[in-house]
Amino acid sequence: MGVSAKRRKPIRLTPSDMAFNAVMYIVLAFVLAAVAYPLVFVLSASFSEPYAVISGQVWLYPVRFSTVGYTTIFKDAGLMRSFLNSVQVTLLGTVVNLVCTVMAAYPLSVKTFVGRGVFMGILSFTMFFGGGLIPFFLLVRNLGLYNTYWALVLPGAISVYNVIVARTFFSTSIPYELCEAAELDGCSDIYYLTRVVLPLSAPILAVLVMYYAVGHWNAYFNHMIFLKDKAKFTFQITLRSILIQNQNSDMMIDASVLQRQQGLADLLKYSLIVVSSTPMLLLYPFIQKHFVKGVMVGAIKG
Amino acid sequence: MRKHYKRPLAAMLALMLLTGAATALAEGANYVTEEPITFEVVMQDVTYIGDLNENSFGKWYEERTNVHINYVEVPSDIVTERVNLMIASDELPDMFVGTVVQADVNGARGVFKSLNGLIDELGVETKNLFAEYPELLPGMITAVDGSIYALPSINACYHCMHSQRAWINRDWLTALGLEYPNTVDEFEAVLRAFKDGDPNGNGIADEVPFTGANGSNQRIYTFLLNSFVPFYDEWYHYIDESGTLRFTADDEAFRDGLRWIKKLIDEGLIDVMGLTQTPDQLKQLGSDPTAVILGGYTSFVWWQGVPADVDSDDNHARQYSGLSPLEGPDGVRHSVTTNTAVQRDQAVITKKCENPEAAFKWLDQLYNPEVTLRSQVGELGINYELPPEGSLGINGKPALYIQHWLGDGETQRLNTRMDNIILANRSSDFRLGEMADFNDPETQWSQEPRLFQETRDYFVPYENMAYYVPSLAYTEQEGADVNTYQTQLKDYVTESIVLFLTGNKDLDKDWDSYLAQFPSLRVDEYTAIRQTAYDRQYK
Amino acid sequence: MTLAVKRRAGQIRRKRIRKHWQLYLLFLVPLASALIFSYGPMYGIVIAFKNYVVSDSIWGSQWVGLKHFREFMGSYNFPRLMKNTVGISLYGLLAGFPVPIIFALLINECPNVRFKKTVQMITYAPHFISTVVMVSLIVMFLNPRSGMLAKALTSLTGQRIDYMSAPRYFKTIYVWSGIWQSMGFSAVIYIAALAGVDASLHEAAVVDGASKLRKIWHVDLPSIMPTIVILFILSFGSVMSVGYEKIFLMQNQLNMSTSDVISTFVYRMGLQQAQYSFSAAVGLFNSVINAALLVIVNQIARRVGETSLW
Repeated sequence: MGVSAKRRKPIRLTPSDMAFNAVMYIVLAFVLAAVAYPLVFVLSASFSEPYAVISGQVWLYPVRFSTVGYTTIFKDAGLMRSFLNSVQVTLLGTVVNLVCTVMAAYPLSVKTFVGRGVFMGILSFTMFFGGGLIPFFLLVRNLGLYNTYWALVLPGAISVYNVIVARTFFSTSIPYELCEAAELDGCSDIYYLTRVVLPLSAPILAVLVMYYAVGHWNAYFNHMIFLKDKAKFTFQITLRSILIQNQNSDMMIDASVLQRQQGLADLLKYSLIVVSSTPMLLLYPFIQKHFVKGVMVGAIKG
Repeated sequence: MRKHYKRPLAAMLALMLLTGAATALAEGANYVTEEPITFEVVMQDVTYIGDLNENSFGKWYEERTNVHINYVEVPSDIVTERVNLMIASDELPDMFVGTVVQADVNGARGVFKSLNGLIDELGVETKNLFAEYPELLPGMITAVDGSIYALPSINACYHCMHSQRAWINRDWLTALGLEYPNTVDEFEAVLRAFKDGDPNGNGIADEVPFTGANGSNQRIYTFLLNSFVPFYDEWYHYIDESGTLRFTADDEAFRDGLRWIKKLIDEGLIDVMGLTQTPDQLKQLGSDPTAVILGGYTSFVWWQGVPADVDSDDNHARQYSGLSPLEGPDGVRHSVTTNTAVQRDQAVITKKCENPEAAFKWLDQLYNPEVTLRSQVGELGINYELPPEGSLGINGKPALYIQHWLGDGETQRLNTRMDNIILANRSSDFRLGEMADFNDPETQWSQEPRLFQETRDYFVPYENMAYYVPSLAYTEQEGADVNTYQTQLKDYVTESIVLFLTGNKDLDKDWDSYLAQFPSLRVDEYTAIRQTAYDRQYK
Repeated sequence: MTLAVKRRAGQIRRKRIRKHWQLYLLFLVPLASALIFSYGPMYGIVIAFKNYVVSDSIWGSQWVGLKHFREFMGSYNFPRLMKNTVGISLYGLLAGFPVPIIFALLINECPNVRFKKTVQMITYAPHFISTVVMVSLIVMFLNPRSGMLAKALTSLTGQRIDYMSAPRYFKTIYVWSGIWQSMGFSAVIYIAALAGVDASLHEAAVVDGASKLRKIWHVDLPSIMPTIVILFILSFGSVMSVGYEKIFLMQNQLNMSTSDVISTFVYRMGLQQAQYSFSAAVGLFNSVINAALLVIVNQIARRVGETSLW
């Protein structure tokens, strides 16, 4: 690439450039430390004895190494079940999203697709106006989706923002000649999309997978609203009730109960954070290469 | 469960339980219906109880009543939201238990069934309850239209009636040769000594003389203001001699109290962090393993400030005892007393329920002493043992049970009881029926006995129930307005108090502008509505 | 346009529709999804103009016109909700928007490939943390006694402050924690754009003896300007819609005066207090302003920067 070729050329640095470099390294090193420290801290805390963390002895390395948090999580049937549920919702949701987004974005990227302006308008309008939660809830219930994972997946099947990004990718990155050649061969649109366009679209698919998967993994609001059976609860719901305890220690909450609740949170807090964040962090490196490319093309021309 | 059968004794107890169940089955006396029936019940999902559908109390009660329950669990922090949505979308269960929202309003709209007829006709245990608390029931649970839509839970918790408590380090008082403080001035002197006298003896001025947290029942000022004016946090009303509701957050005595607290904060005698820190942070502070640094703190129970474990090496938990309310300059000395025995709106039957009679009977029996013991304490042999003949309970009457205290997560794993999320009659006799052998010096350190004693000795003497505004029944419009006004007010006053005490606002210069907001917060309407409701219900 | 031309245009259109019938088939699925799930519930907007209670149906409840809107604008909360909503988003935009750009420009200049990769890898990571976890991290680190950040600030300023409960720090915490979380990820887009800058422009700049700073200013920045503008419009369009999840979780009784925003208010009024009509009115008020803002900004960008969303 041109960029790296240029870098390899020895360039004599002027004093101002050297100053610039110094500032750059300092700033970047600072940023690196500022971002990395909290992550390292959480990791260390998760491997420390809970009491050492509460009393503030952990600041960088694990103190009194312990895996009790993790073993508790992995032994807890409820937590593990909700973790697997989250995996399931994320997989299902991402696939639905991916398919629907391509089905929306590709036609919109074809210049001779009559009505694309109107269709785009119809989709865009939904970015701003919604009917509110009550009618939405009624709808989901009447469609028989209440208490199923479809309720978490179907209503948000397309994100308009992602449709715009994907449309831009299709219209700018797939050489038009391919399309003309295909048309001459008399191939159909669907054939062209599946055999020609999609194989060339790994980058944008990576972007979509990334956005949608992270969205599903981290979502909790719809999950709390639409899931009824505890057996279907997802990880973020469980996480929330442990991490964000509300302090309504009204008279109902009895003394011993209060104590138990607090103990559980102290024990699991850090390891839960690690367990909940790891899957998405692991996903990223796999699609990073495509992702960067996809973001660029998708965004540069809006 | 498997653990259960390891020991012969436990196996025998289980056998006893089984035969007990068999007798009940044979007699059919407790059966709610002859034909098995299934209900759907929405209950709270809390971290300290396992899956309700697997809960052994649930199974036990099913055998007893012949009623199968599908438990729908709603995470406890979003109960209101979820239940409101269920009601708005008509996605109703047969019953809500511990998850009731706006019982009177929804009852009047026909979402919940009126229970008056059912109580008259079928209410065995409910009537016992009414007889047990004649001055509270059924008046307290009756809506403005004369209907009873929701059943209460009873939790006659002796110590809970004194919700604003503080704890003081007795070892430090002894170490410094100080008297137990009774007045605000004595208290100030004690704090000064705590601060300067190095009571923990480590040579470092690391002592925090007095602190608290920003959580209900843990606010420093709520405890201390009661030396100036009867101060009920978040509602800001007390009832004076003439039966009039008095608003306190604009009172001169209230300002005097704040001035005094501010002075102690400025002198470093009260920890300014204690105004804003979370309950977690308070606990962390008091759990410092290297030194005991807390002189005193405001908390409902002592282990909100120090480690719960009385046997820990550092002996934290044994150093503290209750701190009585202090006598103020004008002789005010009030321990915030609330009547918590009857908790309104704990269970309703919805319009969707096709067999309300059976549902009601199922609820009614939850008040039964035997059922309450099973739902609240748990399983014989696992959660409790039967006390030996002749042993006494905390209240000095014959003991009912010996409770086993189980560790973190253990109760959840065993999943044998439903605690406070299900209807129960935790009468005073039941609560204080736990065996306590006060001849054993260790007894005073175990949970319930200690809370009982501390409350009796340090808080009950300053009890004044007359100040307390009991829970009120509103019309729909009243209810909505009070709700809105109280929420705004609570936010405003709580925030302002903290701003005054941290010095971000001045108690002299900014006082008038503080008062000037009250009209737009509709304080007068707020008080008027509550007064009307009070007069209607209790006068 | 003459009739003939019109007819021809119509013919072409019909021909194209016939030719692309498969595209319509494809598009039918997402279109149906939008119609059902987004447009389907929109009838619910009418409850903003009604007095909806649960025992009546939405259509059956009584009309009250603009009552709820008037009530909202006259309420004690209105000024502070407006101030907080606009304040938090503008602050977020002004601080949060340039940071990833600057970060990307710096990264782009870093000759040490391994260091550069490390910085990038680490700075992406927080993006994947969920809101629930993020908020609990914030609370943890700002804990005045044990929180590492709060401790550091105490030793710098000499003051011990409980930041989460101090109204005046709320916006700053909200915005900068957001930057911490998204900076690396938002920069991906700019870094990618910078990598695409024509190398010959750089070489020309070097030949001209331009300093790095000048090169950034005259070559890099103009090259990524279209990207910047588009992203700016997109973010500006959401000035009124501060995401409620994070704020809601960060709120406590002591910071309400600066943390309460329209979306959290709508949530409280609607779902918690069951005042559905009132909360629908507030929500609608918010949406209208939002849409208007986006249109205006887009118009400005179109004139000034010759770039626009549509």
